[in-house]
Amino acid sequence: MNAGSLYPALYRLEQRGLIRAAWRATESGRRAKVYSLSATGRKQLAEQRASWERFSGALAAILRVT
Amino acid sequence: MLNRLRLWLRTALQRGSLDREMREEMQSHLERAPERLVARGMAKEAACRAALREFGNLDYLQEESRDARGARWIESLFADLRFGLHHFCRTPVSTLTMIVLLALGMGFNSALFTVIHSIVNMPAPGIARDESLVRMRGIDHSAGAGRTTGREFSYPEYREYAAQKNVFSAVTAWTSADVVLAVNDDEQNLVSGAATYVTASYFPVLGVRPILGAGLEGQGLADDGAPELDAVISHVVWDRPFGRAPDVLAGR
Repeated sequence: MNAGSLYPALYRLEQRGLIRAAWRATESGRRAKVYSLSATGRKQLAEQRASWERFSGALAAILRVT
Repeated sequence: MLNRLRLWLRTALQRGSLDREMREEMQSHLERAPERLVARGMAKEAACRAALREFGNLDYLQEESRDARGARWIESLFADLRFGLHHFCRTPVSTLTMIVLLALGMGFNSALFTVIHSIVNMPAPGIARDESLVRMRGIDHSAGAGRTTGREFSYPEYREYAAQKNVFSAVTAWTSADVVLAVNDDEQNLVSGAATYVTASYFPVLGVRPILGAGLEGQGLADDGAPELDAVISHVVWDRPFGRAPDVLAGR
């Protein structure tokens, strides 16, 4: 995966309202775009995390049985 | 939902500044990436090349980023519109021809629609438009399942419908035939035409009154004994074979 693939992914998330972007000045005096989770994004993250935990929990249970 | 709309509007309206921001963001990434590699002991030029390689195909990623905003179709729409306008400006004669042909086609269509609509859906001139006036048609199912043809009602059927006063306040029926008319009983002066046989309630139901005479009023119902046939002639017949004779009623 290229490092640059990060940007289309970020824009997609921003377009879906899951993250917010803002230009800020860094310590070195440069302008940098800072991304943060929005309320919707936080909710979505919690949902996805719960779903992943269910899935991986099920997998772990299967591995324990066999 | 409102937020999504706001984001979409921003994408649609501020494409230019979003594009600039994207390029600035990627540029600053590419400027800072070599610093990290230089700190690891790489030569500056090699670090720049490595950073570019690491980042990937810049043009491709920028296209991907525009796609991610989900408003690419707006760009293509404007590009197509621009292309179309240029094309039309370059070929004014064929453009004009197309516009004229389209206008003629649409005009012809709407004229035809108006005519057919007024014939099929609107009452004939002289009859008031009345939502409670309906036309019943017979349907013949004998051709088999799903296949229907139209049929005329029989006279007993008509009388059954007319008897249902709680459904229809009045019912009239008609049928038509080609006839030959002997004007003033003169067998040398024959005129062929179409006759419509109607029940006595025909003119009252349609709310039409003849210019001369009483119409069919006073006609007995045709089912008690032999009916006495009366005729009402149209304005066209009165006009031509009868020469607008004011005493036309006397000659029946």
